[in-house]
Amino acid sequence: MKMKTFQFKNYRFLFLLSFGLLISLTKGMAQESPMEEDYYKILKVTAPEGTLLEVGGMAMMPNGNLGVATRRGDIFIVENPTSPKPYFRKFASGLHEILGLAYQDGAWFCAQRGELTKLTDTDKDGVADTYETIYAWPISGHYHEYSFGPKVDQDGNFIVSGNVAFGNEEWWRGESRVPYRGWVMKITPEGEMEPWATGMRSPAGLGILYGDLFYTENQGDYMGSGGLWHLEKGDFTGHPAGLTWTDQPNSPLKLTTEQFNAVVDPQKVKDENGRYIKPENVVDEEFITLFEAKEKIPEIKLPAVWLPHGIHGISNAEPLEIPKGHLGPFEGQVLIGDQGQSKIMRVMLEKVNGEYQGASIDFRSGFQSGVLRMVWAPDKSLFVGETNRGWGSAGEANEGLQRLVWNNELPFEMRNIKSQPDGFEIEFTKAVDPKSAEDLASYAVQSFIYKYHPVYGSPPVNIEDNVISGVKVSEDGMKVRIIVDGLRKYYIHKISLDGVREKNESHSLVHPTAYYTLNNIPEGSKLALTEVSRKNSVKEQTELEKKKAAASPKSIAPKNTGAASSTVEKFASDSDEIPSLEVVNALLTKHTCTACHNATTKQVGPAYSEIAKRKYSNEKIIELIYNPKPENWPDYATPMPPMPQVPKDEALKIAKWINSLNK
Amino acid sequence: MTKPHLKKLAALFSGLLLSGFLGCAHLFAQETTMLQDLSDFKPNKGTWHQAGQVTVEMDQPNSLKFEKGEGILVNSPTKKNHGIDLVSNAEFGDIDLELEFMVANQSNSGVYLMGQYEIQIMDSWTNTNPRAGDMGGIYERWDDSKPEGQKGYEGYPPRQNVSGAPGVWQQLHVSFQAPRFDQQGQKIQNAKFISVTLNGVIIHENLEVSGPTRGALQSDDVAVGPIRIQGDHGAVAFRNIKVTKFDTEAPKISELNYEIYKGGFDESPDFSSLTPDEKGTLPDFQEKTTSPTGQNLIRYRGQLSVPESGEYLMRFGVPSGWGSLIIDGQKKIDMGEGMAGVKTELEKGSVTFEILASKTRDWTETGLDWEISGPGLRYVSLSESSTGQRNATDPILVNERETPQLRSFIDLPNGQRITHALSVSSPQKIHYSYDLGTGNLVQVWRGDFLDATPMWNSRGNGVSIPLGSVVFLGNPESSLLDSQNQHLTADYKSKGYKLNDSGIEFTYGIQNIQVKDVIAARADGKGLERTITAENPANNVDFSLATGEEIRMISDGLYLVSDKGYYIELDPKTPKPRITSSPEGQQLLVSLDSPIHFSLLF
Repeated sequence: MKMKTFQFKNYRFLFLLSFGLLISLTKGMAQESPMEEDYYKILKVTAPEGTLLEVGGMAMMPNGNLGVATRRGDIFIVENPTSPKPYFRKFASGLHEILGLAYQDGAWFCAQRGELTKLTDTDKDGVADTYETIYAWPISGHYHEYSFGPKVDQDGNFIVSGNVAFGNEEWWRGESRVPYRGWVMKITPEGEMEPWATGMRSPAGLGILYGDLFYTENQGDYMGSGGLWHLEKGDFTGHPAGLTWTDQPNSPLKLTTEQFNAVVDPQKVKDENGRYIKPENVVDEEFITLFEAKEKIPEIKLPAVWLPHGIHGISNAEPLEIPKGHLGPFEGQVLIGDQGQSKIMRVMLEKVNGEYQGASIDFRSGFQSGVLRMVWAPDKSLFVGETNRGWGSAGEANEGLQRLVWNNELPFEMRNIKSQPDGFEIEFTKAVDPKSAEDLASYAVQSFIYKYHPVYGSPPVNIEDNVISGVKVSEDGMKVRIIVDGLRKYYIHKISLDGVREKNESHSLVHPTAYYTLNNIPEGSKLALTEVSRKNSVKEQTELEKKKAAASPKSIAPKNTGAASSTVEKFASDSDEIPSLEVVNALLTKHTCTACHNATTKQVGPAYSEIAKRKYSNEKIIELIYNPKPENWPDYATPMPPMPQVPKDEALKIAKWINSLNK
Repeated sequence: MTKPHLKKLAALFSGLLLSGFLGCAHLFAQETTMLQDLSDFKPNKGTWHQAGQVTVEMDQPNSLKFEKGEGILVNSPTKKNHGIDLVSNAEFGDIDLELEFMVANQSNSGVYLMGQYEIQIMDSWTNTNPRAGDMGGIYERWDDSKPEGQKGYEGYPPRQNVSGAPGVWQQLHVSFQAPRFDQQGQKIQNAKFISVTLNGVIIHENLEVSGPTRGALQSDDVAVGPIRIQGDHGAVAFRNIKVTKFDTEAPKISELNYEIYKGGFDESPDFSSLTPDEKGTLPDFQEKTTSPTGQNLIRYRGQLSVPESGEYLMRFGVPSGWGSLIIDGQKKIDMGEGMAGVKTELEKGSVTFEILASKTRDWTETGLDWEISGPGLRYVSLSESSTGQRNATDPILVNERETPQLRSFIDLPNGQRITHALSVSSPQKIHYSYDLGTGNLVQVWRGDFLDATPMWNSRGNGVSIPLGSVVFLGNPESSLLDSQNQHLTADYKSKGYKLNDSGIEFTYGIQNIQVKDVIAARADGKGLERTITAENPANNVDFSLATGEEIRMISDGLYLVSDKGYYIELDPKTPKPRITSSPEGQQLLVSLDSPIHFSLLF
C-alpha cells in the first residue's frame, strides 16, 4: 500500500513538472490570446415560461419592437426586446410552419408552406384579425416542401423560396412535383408572381445584400457544399429539380432536364430487382465540377462564396449585411447563420470582373440551438433566432431567441481579404507584428473544390497545397499582401495565418483561417519579388521541433493545426500509443469532424464516448469513417457523409483515440 | 357457485345451435351473430317494434316516428307504457359488439354487456363536459347500504363527448372481455372494456369494471350473459347489431428451442453447413442475442397449439432486420421492418413452426413481433419486440385557447391530402376544416380539436389530425355550379380570411364572382352557421349546400343528409333549395343570387 501511494505521488510530481513545461512552452505561442467569446457575448432574451420560440422568421418594427415567427405557427411581437424585461404579445397563431417574416407598411408578411400571407390588425387590439393570401402556390404535401421568406427587395416586391420534395422510391433525390418548388419567386404586393431563378434544393437563407438578392444553400444531392449565391433573373444554381418547369411561359430560363442530364449524369441506376440504387461517392471516379459544367450550361451560377461543408456550417441560413457601427469593425460585410453548427460566419465580398466573390471566416459559435434567423436591434446588437427540432444542431436546446452583443473591444481579426493578380491582400483590424508577418512560415494556402453529382454532398477534391513565395507588409502594419503560386480559378483557397501576431500584445488571430472562393482572378500589377519579404523560418522551426521531440517524446504539440502536422507524424500508425488530445483535436478540426461530433455530448452526431461504447475495432471505425452507416444511429436526424479524404493513418489515430474513451 | 359453469355450458349450447341454425357454411368463418329481429330477443310485449325507416322530430322530446319494416328495432315508449328492456336469447362471454343507434331528443337508453355492464346511450348532443351518466359513459355502480349521496360509485365518463345529433345514425363498437373465474367459481379477473369506440373515436380503452353497474340483471359477475338494451326510458332505435364471439383459447407455444448464428445474414442460409454459436430451449420467446452490438441470425423452432381448425391471421415483423415465418415446413412470410400479415388455414391440434430473425444492423433493438388471431380468437401477441415503447413520443395536442385556428395539411378520408387547409375550433367543441384551395367546408367534428404530433414532432410532415368524430362533407372542385351542374373552377383564388366577432370570413374569387363565406359555431352548440354572399354573381349559379347518397327533407327548410349524419337547416329568408342528382347520389342546391344563410347541424 505504501508503495502505491509513493508511486502515485511520483506521478503527480511528473505531472506538475510537465504542466510547468507546458506553461513555459506556450507562453511564446500566445496561448492566452483572447477568444471570440471575449468580444462577443451571447445574452438571453427572457420570455414567459413555456413560450416555444422555434424561430422561423424575425423582423423589426420601426418602433423597435421585434417580430418573431415560429415553426409552430405563432407570431409574437416583443416589446422592449433588448431590456431585461421584454413583453411578449402573441400577435397571430395557427400559421403553417412559418420560415420567414417581414414588416412592411404597417403589416406583417410571412411565407407559410403554401402561400405568402399578409397579417393586419385592423381593429387595433394588438392581435392580427386579417390573414390575407397575397399569393398561394401549389405544394404536393411532402414534408420537405418548406417555404422561406419573404425578403422585401428595393422595389417593394416579396422574395420567397421553396424547398424541393424527395422521391418516393428515390427518397434521396430532390424533385419538384408542382410549380415552383426548387425556385425563388418574386411576388408583387398585388399578388403577381414571377418565377425568378431555379436550381434551389433547400434555400433557407434569403437575403438582400447591397440591394441585390442573395441566398444560401445547404449541402445535399447536386450540392457538394453549402454556399452563398448572388441571384439574378434566370440563374440556375445547381439542383436540377426545378428545371421541370422551364417550359412554363413565364420561365426566365429554357434549360431542360434532358439538356442538363446530358452534362451531369443523374445516376438513375437500378439493381437486379428493378429498384433504384442510391448514388454514392466513389473515391477514384472521374467527376465534373460545377464550374466545369458551367462551360456547357451557361445558365449555371457559381456561388459567390462556397461555405465549406463542416467548416463554415452544415446547414446555412440567413445572410445579413452588417450596417455601419454594428458589432465591431466589419461594417459592410455579411453575417451568415448556420443551423447545424449553431454559429455565425462572416463573409467578405468584393466584385471582380463585375461578379461577387469573396471569403468566409468564423465569427461566433456557441449559440444554444441552430441559428436560423438574425436581425439587428436598435441598439446595434444582433437578435439570433434559433431552432433545431428534427434537424439536430451543435447547440443542444431545441429552440431559442438570443442576442449577440459586442463589448466594444477590438478583436484581432482578418478584417478583409481581397484577391490580387498574384495572391491575396489581407487587411487586419489591428497592426501586426512585422517579424511574424514578414515570415512566410506564418502563412499557408491550400486549394480544393467539390464534385458536382447527384450524390449527397461531396468530399473536397483536387486538394493542393499552394506555395507562398513572398509577403509585403504595409507600413502601418494593417495590411499584408501575399504572393501565392498556382492560384486556381474557381477553387476555394484556404488561407491560414497561424503564425501572424498582433503588434503590441503578440496575440494570434481570433480566427486564423479563411476560405476564399476565387471565381475570378483580377487583372492588374503583380508584386515584384524585390519588394517583398521572402524570409521563411519553416525549416528552422521544423528542425527545432525535431530536436525537442527527440528530447521529450511526450512533449506538448503546438496548438495550431498547421504547425501541428509535423508533430502528428511522430505517431506511427502501427503504434499502440493513443494520440494526445492536442493531436487528435487538430485532426478532428482539420477533417471537420468537430462540425458534428463532440467528445462527450450529443450534437448533430453521437458523442465519441458513445461511439466508443460500441467497441468497434479500430479498423471498423476507419471503415465507418469512409462508409458511414447512419442506420446504426436511428436517433440522429442528419446522416454522416462518407469522409474518404481522411488519410488512413490519421483515421487510425482518430479511431484509437475514440476507443480510448471507453473506460 | 356452479352458476357460471352452467351458464357457460348454456352459452356453448346456444352457440352450437346458432351456428347450426345459420348453417355456417364455411367451417372457418368467424363466429358472428346478427341481432336484427325481435325474435332474437326474449319475448317483449313492451314498446319495441321492427321498422324499416325511423325519423326524429328534432324539437319533440323523446319522440321517434317509424314505418313498420325490417332491419331496425325501435323503442317507442308512451306515457302509459314506459317499456321494458330487450334481452337477447343468446348469451355471450368475450365479444366484439358493433351496432348503430339513433336517439330522439332527450332520449335515454343503454347497452348492457352480459346484461351487467352498461354503456350509456343518451341524447348528450352539445354537452361539452360529459359525465359517467352521459352518452358513452360506463354507468356508475350502486350500493344501497351506503348513505344517501354515496350510493353511486365508480362510473367512468367518456374521454370526450362525440355524440351526434338526434335522428342521425351513430356507431358504437365495443371490444369486451368477460370476467374470469377459477374452477371454484371465484372471480379471478374483472370484466374489461378493451375498447369502446363511439362514432369512430375511442372513448374508453382497457377499462376494468370491478362489478356490475347499476341496474344489472344480476348482482354478481357472471361468466356469460345476454346483450341487453335498455328500453324503459327513452325513444331509441338500433340496427346492424353484430356480435362476434371470442371464446377460443389462445394458442400456446411449446418445445421452443433456438440457435444463434453470429454475423450478418441477408437471406436464409443453408443451415446444414453452419454451426450455431449458441443454442438452447426457451419457455417462450424472449429477446435473445449473443451480444448487444452484433449482427446475428436467430433460428427458433417449436410447436404452436391450434385450439380450433380455421383460418388464422398472423402479423409478423423483425424491427431490426428481416425475418421469415415457416409453418409446417411452408414459408408463410418474408418481411423486413414493418409488420407483414398472412392468412393461413390451420387444423386443430398442433403445428410446427420455424422463425428466422436476422438482426442486420449493429446496435439496434432486437426481438420480433408475432401476433395471431383466428376463429373466435382476438389478436394475441406470441412475441413482442421492444421497439414500440422505444419509439413512443409525447403527443402534441393543439391547445385551442392558444391556437384557435390552425393551418396544416389535412388528410381526408377519401385519401386526398389538402395542402391549404385551415382548421377552426370553438368553445362549443364543434370544429371544422376549410380548404382554402377550393373554398369548401370539407369536414366538421365534435369533441377535442387537433393532434399536431405528425406536424410538430421532429421534422414533422405538416399534417394535423382531428381528435373528435369527423363528418366528412366532401371536397368537390368548388361549391359553385353553373346551370349545367358543372363546378366553377376557373381563376379560383383564395383571398384568405378575417377573424370577426361573428366568426371567420373567408373570401375567394371564381371567375368574376367574389364570394364571402362566413362560418361560426352556433351558440347553442348544435352546429355551424354559414352565410354565403356573392358579388357579381353570374346568372344561374348555384351554391351546393350538401352532397350525399341520400338527402331527405324532414320539414320545411330542414334537410337530412342521412348517410353522412347531418342536417341542413335553412334560414327562412333564404330561397328554397332543391335536391338534384349528383355523382355521389344527391345534392342540395340553392341559387347564389341572394345571400344564403343556413346551419349545418351534426
